[in-house]
Amino acid sequence: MLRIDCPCCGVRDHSEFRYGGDATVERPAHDNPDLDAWYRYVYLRANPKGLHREYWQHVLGCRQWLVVERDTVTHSIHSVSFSRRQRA
Amino acid sequence: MTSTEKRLASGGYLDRSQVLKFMCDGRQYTGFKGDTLASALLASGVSLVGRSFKYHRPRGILSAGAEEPNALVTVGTGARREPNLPATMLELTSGLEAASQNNWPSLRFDVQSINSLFSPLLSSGFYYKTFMGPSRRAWMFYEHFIRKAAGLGKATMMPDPDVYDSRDDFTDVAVVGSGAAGLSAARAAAQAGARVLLIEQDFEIGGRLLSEPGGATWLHTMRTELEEMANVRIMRRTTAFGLYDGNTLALIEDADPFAGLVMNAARKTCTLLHARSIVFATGAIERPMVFPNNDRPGVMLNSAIRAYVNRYSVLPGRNVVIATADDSAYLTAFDLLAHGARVVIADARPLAEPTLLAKAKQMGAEVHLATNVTDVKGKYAVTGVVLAGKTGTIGVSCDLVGMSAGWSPVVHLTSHQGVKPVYRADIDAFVPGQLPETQFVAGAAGGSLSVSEAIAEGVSAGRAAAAVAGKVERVAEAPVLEIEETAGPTTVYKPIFGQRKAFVDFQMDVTLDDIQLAQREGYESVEHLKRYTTLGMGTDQGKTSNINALKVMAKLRGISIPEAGTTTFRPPYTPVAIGAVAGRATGHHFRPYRLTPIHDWHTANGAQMLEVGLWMRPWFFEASGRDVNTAYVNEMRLVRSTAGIMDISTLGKIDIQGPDAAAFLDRVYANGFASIKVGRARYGVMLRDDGIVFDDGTTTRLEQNRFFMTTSTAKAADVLSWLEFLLDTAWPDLRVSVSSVSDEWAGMSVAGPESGKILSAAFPDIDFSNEALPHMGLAGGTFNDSPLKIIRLSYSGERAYEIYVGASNGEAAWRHLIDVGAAYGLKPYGVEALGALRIEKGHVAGPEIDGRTTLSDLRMGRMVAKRSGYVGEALSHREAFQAANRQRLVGLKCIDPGKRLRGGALLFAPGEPLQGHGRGRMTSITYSPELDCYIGLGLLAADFKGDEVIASYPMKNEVVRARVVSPVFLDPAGERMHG
Amino acid sequence: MVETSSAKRMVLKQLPCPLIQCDAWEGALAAFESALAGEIGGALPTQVGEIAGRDGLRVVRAGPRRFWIFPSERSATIASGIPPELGCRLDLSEGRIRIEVSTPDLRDVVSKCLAIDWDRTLGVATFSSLHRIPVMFTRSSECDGEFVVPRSFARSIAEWLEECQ
Repeated sequence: MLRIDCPCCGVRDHSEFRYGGDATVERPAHDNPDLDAWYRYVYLRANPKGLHREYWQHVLGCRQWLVVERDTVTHSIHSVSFSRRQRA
Repeated sequence: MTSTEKRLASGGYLDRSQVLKFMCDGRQYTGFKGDTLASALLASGVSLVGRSFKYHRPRGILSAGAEEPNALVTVGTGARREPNLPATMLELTSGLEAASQNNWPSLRFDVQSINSLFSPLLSSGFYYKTFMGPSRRAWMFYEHFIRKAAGLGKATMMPDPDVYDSRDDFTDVAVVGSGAAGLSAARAAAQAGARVLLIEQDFEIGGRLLSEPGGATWLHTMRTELEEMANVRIMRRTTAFGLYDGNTLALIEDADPFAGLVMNAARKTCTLLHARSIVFATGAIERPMVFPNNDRPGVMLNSAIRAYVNRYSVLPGRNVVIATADDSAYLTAFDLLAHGARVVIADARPLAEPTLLAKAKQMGAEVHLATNVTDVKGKYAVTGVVLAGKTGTIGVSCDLVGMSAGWSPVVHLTSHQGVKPVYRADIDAFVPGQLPETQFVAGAAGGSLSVSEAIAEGVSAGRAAAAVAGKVERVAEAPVLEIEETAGPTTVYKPIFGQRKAFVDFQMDVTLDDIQLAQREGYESVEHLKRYTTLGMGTDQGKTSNINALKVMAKLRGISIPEAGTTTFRPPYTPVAIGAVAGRATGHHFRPYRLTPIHDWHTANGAQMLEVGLWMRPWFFEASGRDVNTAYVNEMRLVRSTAGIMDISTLGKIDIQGPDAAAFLDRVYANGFASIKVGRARYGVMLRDDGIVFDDGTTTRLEQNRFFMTTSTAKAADVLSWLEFLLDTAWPDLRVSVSSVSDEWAGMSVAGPESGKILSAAFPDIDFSNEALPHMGLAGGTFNDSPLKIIRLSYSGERAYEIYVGASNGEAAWRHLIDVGAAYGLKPYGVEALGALRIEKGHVAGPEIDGRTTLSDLRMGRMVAKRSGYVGEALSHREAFQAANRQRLVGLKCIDPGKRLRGGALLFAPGEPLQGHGRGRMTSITYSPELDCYIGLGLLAADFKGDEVIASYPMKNEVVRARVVSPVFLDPAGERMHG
Repeated sequence: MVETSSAKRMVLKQLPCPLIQCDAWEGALAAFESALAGEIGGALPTQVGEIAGRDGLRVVRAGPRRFWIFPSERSATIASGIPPELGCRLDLSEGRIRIEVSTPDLRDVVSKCLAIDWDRTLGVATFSSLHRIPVMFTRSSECDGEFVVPRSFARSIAEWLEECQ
């Protein structure tokens, strides 16, 4: 029952969101043919205890993909930002 | 004993003008509004109310609250029969019908209490030993008897006729508990300007103050003030049963039984309360003492006696022995003495507060220090006790025994999120651990057992909780409450070992002996103790027993109480009716349903509907045949010979536009899209990053920078989110907008040799010649006031058109096509035929695109030859995907006359043992009227040699021979669809 | 229009919902906003969920770069002049149904539909989830509210609203 503070909609129930996985891994460029780079991006994951960055989409709200900084121990959420802002 | 002989003449929180008649075990009694079932029974002189779980020992009322382990009753009859309700929490209503549990043929004469004689058989570890050990066979033998004998009340087997609600609520400050601390917190938070929700599990506000003879005026003042504040809401009959992430409290609320008949009103309501901050003012529960036969009817908690005397105006006994290790019991003694009872105090401690001793003696009580109860006499009701002190033992006759072994703060909610409670030796109790900054504790819940502390802590917690929500207006002092108070326990109560039938967990029938046995057998940790003895596993979840048990275990192991620790607290705090969690989302509303714009036509024209995800789709039409197997074959023939019309509105549809839309699609689809011309459609396949096929569909270029994508019905939402993910996280530089237009367009497919003629007749303004509208071409227009798009696409392999029209005119367009097409033999067909037609044509769908297959597995590898820069490219080239035994798409044709194929069958080489996973599997099957046999698609190891397989379906013991053929069973050159 | 007025206290209407969606490209938002403001002849809402209204035209900000324009009737011209280098326009007038609900129990009904703080819904558009269906909720008073829902779910939601009262 996470409550996620969407930067444009306010605090909402996690049921409005879609989980999108690890946001700490860097996606290779679309035309990067390096098998190893893609292998690392798709499969290699840390399993941190404590703060973790992950993608969530506010799919039943503003539809924005967000980067949520969540504590994997306490489930407390430390920050939420637009994925686009992080990329820019 | 039918008179209200134990009811006092005046006092209490009762409305004596409302006399309520109720039934218990077939006898009629009366009580007042404001009574619980327990207080009304006590007032009527009933002390025996149930039989225990394992031994069927007679049991009475132990408590006056939610912690009650003994007095569980079944309420209601027929479909409304509800078992295991604590009589201490049941608000008395007129016409209430209650029944005691675990007794046969009657409460007083219970055949199965003979279990008591075999009690060693049922001692701790019984279940473990019989289930797990070498004596497992014994369980087979015993099970029948044990299941019959051990247990609680029985739930009804009939459907629940009642309505429940499930809802969300919001507040700045939630205050759990309405005792002195909770009321003070609510008032302070509200004065500071916060929106406050005060939650009380009882039907009366006040908590423990309701048991205080001097609390009424203060309570009235506070309650009135809160009720008048616009920013305060009060929920009574509401238990906060769980604490979840984000300060979410789960509440279960019982409807007010005196609210009168409200149509369609919920019997219980489950609320998820989202609070900015929470004040836990949940109070404390008194612990029983552990002595032989402490479970006899008439042995009660001292705090409960106070509640019955002061709140319910019942004097449960006239000759009372008060056993205690705690000063607070003296207040119970004073209240009893004030009402004329004879009181003997057995204080386990060598010393007690001198002023209390003096007052007790002055009021006429007999006080024995350093004295313990060592036995209780009487089976169905207490008749006396044996007291043992320094000077020896004495027998004392009595009709009521009170007991106090200290207080356990209600730390359940604060612990639900993993904050472990910590032990405070000074009050011999566990209190909440370090809570998050938005949660506060006030009063007895935090170990502050006096009323003055509770009020002070309530005010400061309320103020702090409001500040979390940014509300910091001035808070006035709480009204002063002067009340007789005592200190907490001055010594730690220790049960005396070696006593038989000294119950620790009343509901689960766990005794001191059982805990000692568990320890001897190595089940020492509290979590093992719990599972080995079932201690704390009853419907009361060990509210009165857990702390006593862990103290006993700590003593046995020679470790400290904090070292022993508590078991994990998990929701729910009290049992929750599952119906309330579901609310009204049952039956018809179990989940939402989705209708196409043409739905009403289908149901009015003989369609058998099928749930596909949330969608309702025509499965087949009754005009085609009585059952699905007849109908779909006829519908296939219809499409192959003349023409059929199919509702395809469920397809996912996505509008994609922007200057970079073509470049975007070129990356998203494995096959190229940049080169597609305006007005043309292309079949496309998307991969996942790992190189596995994700979804397929057709995308049409409507304008230079605008595309119309279709996805499978099942993956529509996933595809849109995926496109948005790529744009938001990977390629924010691309100027592309993607939006679902699935609901914008009604879609219908007209397929079959006559389809061109039908379309020409239906839309005379559009040229349907092969030259003007070739396969994969687009035509546009309007129908009525709605936009119209016609794309020449074929799923069945026949000449076919997909007609998309604005949803508001979907049914009109469908009717128009049906009307015009009738002359050409056009009829509707359903999804069963649709799925069969595509198998004949060798088109892959969900069963083949199953999250494990690659493009080359599906024989589409050539689509991406010489392509690069698309999603999933790099990992699709990985070595494992090129393995020689990789399973690839094949066609399979049944060659055993009269037999059929089955989806999911495993494929083996002829002569090979039919073991393991085989060389492949059958993914889709259908009867083919064209080939007059069963055909299927399958995935078969690419290195499989030979043209015949054995398809084994172990679930039905079927073994069938099939020939391996091309997956395109029909018209491999595509002449029909291009023609 | 489907209108139901049951013996219960709720009046529920299902109405067509003309809707134009406009999206701005990243980086061109400011220019897009002034172009769109010019097109509709009024200021745009600045916060997601904020509503700007003018002459029977309601403009709701549906996302950081997305606007929903609700005209009183379907229109091919509204916002049709946005330069393609700034953003795009999409007519969504066929795919949604406006469910108007009037009942003295609106707050109670909404609490069984949306995990949304009622006190923060007055005068704003709330994009949220009703049984996992994306809906837009607005209300003009304690008793009058409106759900904009996908057409395919309209009947399911309307029945739910009536039956959860």
